[in-house]
Amino acid sequence: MNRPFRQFKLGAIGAGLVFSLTIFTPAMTLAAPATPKESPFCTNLPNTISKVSTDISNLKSKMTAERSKLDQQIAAGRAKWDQEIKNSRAKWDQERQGYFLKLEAKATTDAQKSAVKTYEAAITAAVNIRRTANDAARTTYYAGVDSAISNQRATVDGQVATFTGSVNSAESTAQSSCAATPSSGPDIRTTFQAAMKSARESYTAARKSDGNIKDQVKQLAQTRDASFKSNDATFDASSKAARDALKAAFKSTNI
Amino acid sequence: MKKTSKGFSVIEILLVIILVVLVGGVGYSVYHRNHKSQAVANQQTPTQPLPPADGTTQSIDSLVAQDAGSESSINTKYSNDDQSTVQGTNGSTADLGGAYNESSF
Repeated sequence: MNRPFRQFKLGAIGAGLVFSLTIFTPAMTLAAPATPKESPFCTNLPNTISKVSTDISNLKSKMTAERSKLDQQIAAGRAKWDQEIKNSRAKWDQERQGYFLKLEAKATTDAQKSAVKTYEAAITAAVNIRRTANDAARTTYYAGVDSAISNQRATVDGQVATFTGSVNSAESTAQSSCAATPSSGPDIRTTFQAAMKSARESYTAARKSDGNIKDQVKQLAQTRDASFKSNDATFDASSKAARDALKAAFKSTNI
Repeated sequence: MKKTSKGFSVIEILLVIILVVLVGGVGYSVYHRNHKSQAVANQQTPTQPLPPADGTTQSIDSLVAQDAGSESSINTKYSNDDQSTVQGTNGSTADLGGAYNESSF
């Protein structure tokens, strides 16, 4: 083979190789599109969501535990209240019997003895009526407080549901945005922060606006105390009537 | 001559004095608070002497009035406790509003 032809052959092979490389290399790179780099925010988003969920869950558990503790404290306090009232009444009933005996000792005639018995029965009945009415007022107070607590809890539960719904929505939006454009971390982060802030502030504002149960309970206590006062007035009237009847029977104002 | 220094320095003495004052102050405030609550409790449930059992309706009236007053004191005491207990419900609900700090995301 002559030399010029061999050189030509070598040159053609080399040109072919160069041509192939210049054509196929870009084609190969275009066939496999470049993966956009994920921003740190999107990379950390699952951890962020997990932490927020855990923290909210812990606080909700704390709220539940606090409610349970409160229920126990209220029940224990009322049990003590009722028992102390019961003990006090038993004590005063016993004392009253002693005083009745002293009064009975002053009755000398059958008419006077009968009048004393009538008086004792009237006083005892008036005391029992007052106590029953006071018990009813106290029971109404208990029920009112329980209702106020129950209503407040329902309101709070609604507010918590709205809050967690808003948080979940913000998280879902951020996740979707990161899946679509993982490199747009800064923008997604800004939107996410704004949504989470809005959720939190809305909850806080709602908690402040629905008032405090304190005023309702105070009003219930005042209503109860007004009933007590009214019951006392009713008793005083009955007691006076019984006393006047006895004095008339004894024909004496010294009894 | 070598000077031997025994005993406490001025700073050590001052520290001890400050410590004693602090402990004493805390103890006094605890005592005062307990003493005050006891005084309030005693005030709410006074123990009056019973009226003379002289066989008169007046003595019975006085007795029954003391009965009512005693029950009223019990009601006041427990009502105040009840209201205080009920009011202590909002701590954890408010905490939920601080569940996270969005600027840390």
